[in-house]
Amino acid sequence: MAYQVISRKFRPKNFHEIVGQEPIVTTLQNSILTDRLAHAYLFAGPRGIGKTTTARVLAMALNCQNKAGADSNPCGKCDICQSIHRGDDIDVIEKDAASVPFVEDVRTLRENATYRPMRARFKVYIIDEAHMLSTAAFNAFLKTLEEPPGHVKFIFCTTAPQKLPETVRSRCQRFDFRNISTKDIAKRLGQIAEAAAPQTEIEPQGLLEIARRAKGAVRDAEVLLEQLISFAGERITVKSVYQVLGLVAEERISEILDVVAKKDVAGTLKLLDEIYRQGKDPSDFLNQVIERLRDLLVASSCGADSPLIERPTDERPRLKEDAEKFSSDFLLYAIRLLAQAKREIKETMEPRIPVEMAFVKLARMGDLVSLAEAIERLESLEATSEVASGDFSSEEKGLFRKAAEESPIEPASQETRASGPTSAPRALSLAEVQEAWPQVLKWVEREEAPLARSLAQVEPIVLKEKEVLLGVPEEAGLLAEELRIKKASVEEALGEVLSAALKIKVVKLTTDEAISSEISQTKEPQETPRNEASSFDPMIEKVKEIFKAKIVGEERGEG
Amino acid sequence: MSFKDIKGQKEAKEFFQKAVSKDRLGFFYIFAGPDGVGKGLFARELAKSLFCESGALRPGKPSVGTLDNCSSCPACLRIDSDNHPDVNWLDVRESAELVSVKDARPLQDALYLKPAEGPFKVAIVRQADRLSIAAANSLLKTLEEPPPGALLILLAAALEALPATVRSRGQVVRFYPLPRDVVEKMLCQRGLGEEEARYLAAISQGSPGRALEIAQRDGFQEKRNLVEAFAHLSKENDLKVAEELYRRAGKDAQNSMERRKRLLNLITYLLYFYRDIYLLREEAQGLLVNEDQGDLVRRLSQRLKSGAVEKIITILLETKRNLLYHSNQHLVLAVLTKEIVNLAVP
Repeated sequence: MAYQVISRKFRPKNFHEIVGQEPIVTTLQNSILTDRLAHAYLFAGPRGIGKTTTARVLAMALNCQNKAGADSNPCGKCDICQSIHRGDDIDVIEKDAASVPFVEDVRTLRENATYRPMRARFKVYIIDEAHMLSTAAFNAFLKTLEEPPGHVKFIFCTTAPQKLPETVRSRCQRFDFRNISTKDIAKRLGQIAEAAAPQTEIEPQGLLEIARRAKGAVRDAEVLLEQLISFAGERITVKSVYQVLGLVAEERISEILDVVAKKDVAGTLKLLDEIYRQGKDPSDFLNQVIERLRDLLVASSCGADSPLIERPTDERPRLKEDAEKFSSDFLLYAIRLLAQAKREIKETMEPRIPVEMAFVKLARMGDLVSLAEAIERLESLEATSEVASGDFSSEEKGLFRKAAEESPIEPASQETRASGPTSAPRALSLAEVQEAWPQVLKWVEREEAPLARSLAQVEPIVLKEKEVLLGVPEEAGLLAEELRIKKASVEEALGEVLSAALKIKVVKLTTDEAISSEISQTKEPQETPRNEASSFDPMIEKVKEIFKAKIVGEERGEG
Repeated sequence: MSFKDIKGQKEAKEFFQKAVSKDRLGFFYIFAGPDGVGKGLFARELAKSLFCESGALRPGKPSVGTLDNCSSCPACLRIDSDNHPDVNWLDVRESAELVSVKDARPLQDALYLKPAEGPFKVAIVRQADRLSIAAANSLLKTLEEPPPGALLILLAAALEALPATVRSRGQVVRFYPLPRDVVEKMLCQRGLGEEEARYLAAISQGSPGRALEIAQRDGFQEKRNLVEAFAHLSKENDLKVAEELYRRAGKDAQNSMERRKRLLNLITYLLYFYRDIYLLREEAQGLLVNEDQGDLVRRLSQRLKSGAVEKIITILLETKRNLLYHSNQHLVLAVLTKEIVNLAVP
C-alpha cells in the first residue's frame, strides 16, 4: 500500500505553491533575501490553511543546498529539502506539542539546541499544535526563545494563539494566516485533480462546490476531493458532492421554502417527512436551509448577482425569484427560528420534533407585520383615541384592564430608583432627600469610603431652593471642615441619585437660631401625600386617556 | 456476520468498495451517523476484509479486489471475537477515561507499533465525539501523517462535537438512518409485535440499535400506560403521576444513569404523543406515530389549543435537556406534570 492521500502527496514544496497567503509568503521570502530573519516565528490561524506547510517550506528555504535564486525558493530536490519535506530531517525537528506537552521534553529540547546543526545551516524547531504545551513548558522556553544560539530558529504553529502566554507571543514574529477564498481553493483543486487523477473528469461547478464546502480550508477541500475521486469514478459533479456529504438536493430546499411561502402546513410536514425518510442528518439539513435563507436575504438587499453569494450563476434567477416571495423580516425571523431548532436538537438529542415545530411555526406565521408598520398602526390607534371599549373582545379587555391596574407602580418605583434625567423636572421634598440619603452614602462610598463614614454622621435637615443644609453636631468641628472641602463630591453624588442639581451647605446644629426657624418653615411641604404625585405622572395620564381608565388602587412594585 | 448482513448503508459500502478497488484506501476515516445504525459493525467488517486470508487485499494477491471477507478464516474469527493483535478497539464511553493526553497514548502506541501479522494496524474509537479536546489534540499529528499501514476509524454520532482540526483531516463517511420499513422488519424478526415494531421504528429515527434498546428497557405496554396517564392528567393527580413516573423508571434500574436513560425514553414517548396531537391540529394526516392510541390523540387534539400543545412540547424538550444535564429528577418531573396540567386542564 504505497498509496499516499492527496493532502500529503501534494503538500507544497516551495513558496509558489502555497495558496492564498501571499502577504506572509512575500514577507518571509524578502526576509530571507535581505537576511533579516527572526529567531522565532508564530504561525497562527484556523485549520488546514497551510501553517505547518509554510513552516516546512521556510525550513527548506533556510537550509537548501542549492541556494535558490532571486525568490529564495528551495530547490525541493536536494537531500535536505527532501528529508525536511518527509519530516525526518536531522536538523529540522518537528515536535508535536500536543502529545509531548510536558516540561521535561522542553528541557531536553533546550539542551540539544545548543549543539550546532549536523549538516544544514540552521537548526529549525517546528513546534506544531503549540497551544497544547503546558505553562511550565512554555516558561522553560522563555530564555532560549529570547536569545537562542545563532544557528537555531523556532517556528510555533497553532490554531489557538490566544492560549500561548503573552511572554511567548511577545518574543515571536507573528504571522496570522487567513482563510482562503473559494476561488483560490478551486484553482488549486483543479491543479491537484489533474495531477492526481487525470482520468477523472471534474465539472467546474463540482470543483467550486467542493471548495465552497471546505469553508476556507485547503486541506478540507483536498480531503473531500480525495473522497470524491474514489467515490465518483469518471465524473465528479455537483450531485456527487452532495451525495458524499449527505446533503439534501438544493431543489428540495427550494421546494420546501415554496411550500412554506404558500402557508401550506400539512404540505411542509409531508416534505419534511420525506427528507427524514431518506435519512438525511437534521442538523445538516437545517444548515442548508439557513444558508439558503441567508443567500435570499443577501439577494433581497444586494441583488441576486451579488458576489457575496457563492452560488453558480444558473441558480441565481431562482434565487431572485425566491427572494421576492419573502420579506427580509420573515427571513431574519426564519433564520433565528431554525438556528434555535438546531441548538435544541443538540441539547435535547431529539432530532425530529424541534425541526417540525420550527417549520410549522414558519408556515403558519401568516403575514408577518413589519415592526415599522406595527408602530404606524399603533400611532394611528393613538390618534383616533376614541376607541369604543365595547369593540374589544373580552380577552383583550382583560389585558387592558390589567395594564391599567399595573401602571400606578411606575411613580412608586420612581421614588426609590430616582427618576431618569429625562423625566419632567419636579420639586423635591425634604423627605425625598432624606429617604435617598442612604443611597447617596452608598454612592459616595464607592468613590471615597472615608468621606462616606463622615457623611453618615450628618443628615440633611433643610431643603431650600435647591440647597440642602447638612446638620453637623456642634462638637464635630473637624467634620464640618472636611465636608466643606469635599463639597463637590457630595453634590455630585446627590445629583446622581436624585438627578437634580443640588447645592449643599454645612451648618452646625443647635446654636444657630436662624436655621431652626428655617427648619420650621420648611416642615409643611414635606407632608404632601405621595398618592397625589402619581396623578401628575404624564404617562399615567396618557394611559387613562387612551383606555378611559381610572386609578383603582396603588400597589408598590419591588424596585 | 458479513457485509451482506449490514442493512442499508449502501453509500458507505459503495464508497469503500470503490476506494479499495482503486487502491485509494486512506488512513483516517470518520464514520458519522446516529447511534445504532451499524457504524461499529461496518468498521469490524472493514477490518476483517483487510485481514481476511481469502481476501483480495492481502499482499501478493491482485490489488484490484472486492471488499469482502469469509468470516470463517482464523483472522476473521479473531477479529469477530476482539482478539486480533492488529485491530484495536477503544471505547470512550466505557472507560470514560479518555480525557487527558496520557489516556490517548494507548491509541498512538497501537498505531505506531509495527503490525504483528497483517500489513495493517487498525484502531477504531467508539463514541469518538466524547474525546476530550486535549486527547483529540494529541492525535492531530498522527492523523495527518500516520505511520505506514495505519488505519484509524473514529465513530461519532455528533460530527460537530469533534474539533474542526480533527474533522478537517479525515474523510467523513456518512451513515444514514435506515428506512422505517427496514427497521420495522428487523424488529419483527426479533419477535416484536407488528404494532410495537411500527411504533418503535418511527420513534427511533431509523436506528435499529436504538429501537432495540428502547424495547428492552421499556415495553410497548409501558408507553400505552404512560400516554393514558398523561391524557387523563388532572389537578388532583399530577404529582402522583410524577411520582409514579419516577418510581417506574427506577424499578430494577442498576444506578441513576440507568434511571436517567429510562426517564429519557419515557419523555420521548410523551414527546411523540404531543407531537401527534400537534400535527393532527395542523391537519397533517398520515404522519401519526401513535396510531394504536389514535382515539386518544384525536380527542386531545380537539380539546387542546395549538398554542398549548406547542408549549407542552417545548416543556417536554426542556425536560429532556434538564435530565440530560443531570438536574434533580424528582423536581423536573413534578414541574413537568404541573406545567402540563396548567396548560391542558382548563
